[in-house]
Amino acid sequence: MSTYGDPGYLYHTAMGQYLTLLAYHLANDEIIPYDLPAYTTAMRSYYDELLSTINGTSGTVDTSELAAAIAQFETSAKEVMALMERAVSTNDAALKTVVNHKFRDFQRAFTSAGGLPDREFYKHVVNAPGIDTGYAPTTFPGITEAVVAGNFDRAAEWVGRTSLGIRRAADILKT
Amino acid sequence: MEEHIDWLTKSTIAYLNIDVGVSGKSPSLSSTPELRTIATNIMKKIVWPTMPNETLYDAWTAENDGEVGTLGSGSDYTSFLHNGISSLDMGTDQGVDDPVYHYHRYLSTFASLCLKAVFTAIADEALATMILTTGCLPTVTQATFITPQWDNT
Repeated sequence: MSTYGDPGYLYHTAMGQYLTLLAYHLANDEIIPYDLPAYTTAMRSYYDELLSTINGTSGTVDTSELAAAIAQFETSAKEVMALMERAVSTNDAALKTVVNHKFRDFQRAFTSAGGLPDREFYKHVVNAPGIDTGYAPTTFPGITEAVVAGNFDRAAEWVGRTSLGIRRAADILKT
Repeated sequence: MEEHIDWLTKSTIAYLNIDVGVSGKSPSLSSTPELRTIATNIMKKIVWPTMPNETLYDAWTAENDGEVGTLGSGSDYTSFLHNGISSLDMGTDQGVDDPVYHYHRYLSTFASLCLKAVFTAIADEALATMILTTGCLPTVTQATFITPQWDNT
């Protein structure tokens, strides 16, 4: 390591500094430094990929419930960012705690009880390692993998389960 | 992790993962989306060793076009993510002129090195205290359980 890998351990130092500073802000900032609208942006991108996957098959899946759930999340994400600004500008400790709890907890809602089909360990409805992709991710995995497998009944079921998770996350964030 | 799931889901705000700690000079970052802005901004504050006057952010954007990856699997964050805990995975990959054999620089060996490195690099006393209480935890255990200062639960 000192001869070839990382002479002087310079990269180790940089990585240690990076994670330390990140941990510091997550732990000590008065509001957890989360960007909730970025989650909306990501889900919109995953949604477009899903439509493209569906269009590449001969089947059809009604994804309107999912689109509506993402729109609901978008509204809640904007609301909670506005609440965060109000908590900071008024220096309201109780309100800051409310926002922090929302930020801490919203992600819990994305896990589906019982897990993804045939692999219950994986529960996150937004992203998971693909069933045939090794470590690489698949987005909206319950829906996407059912579509790829040609199981459109299951895909429809997972539009519902995925949308439910997103709506529950939106409910935690809403103000 | 699953053994302590009730405590973790009550109290944890984020899981920071570093597994392939240093495997070359090309930084890579994946996370749940809400962490992307802060994770990217912090990169701009870290000096990158082989590029004078450049930061980790510069090195990262040069290799990745500034795109934070989506988490799949392959490291310990998986069980946190799939129990609904915000997660981030950071590391470096091999560039064209890096040695080929050290695929993993596991954190068990990273720990004592990092301790020395961060204390050398950051003189500020408050930061040093913070490193003791939070920052060195990931380097020792590969797991950071961040309980924020505003929360006693």
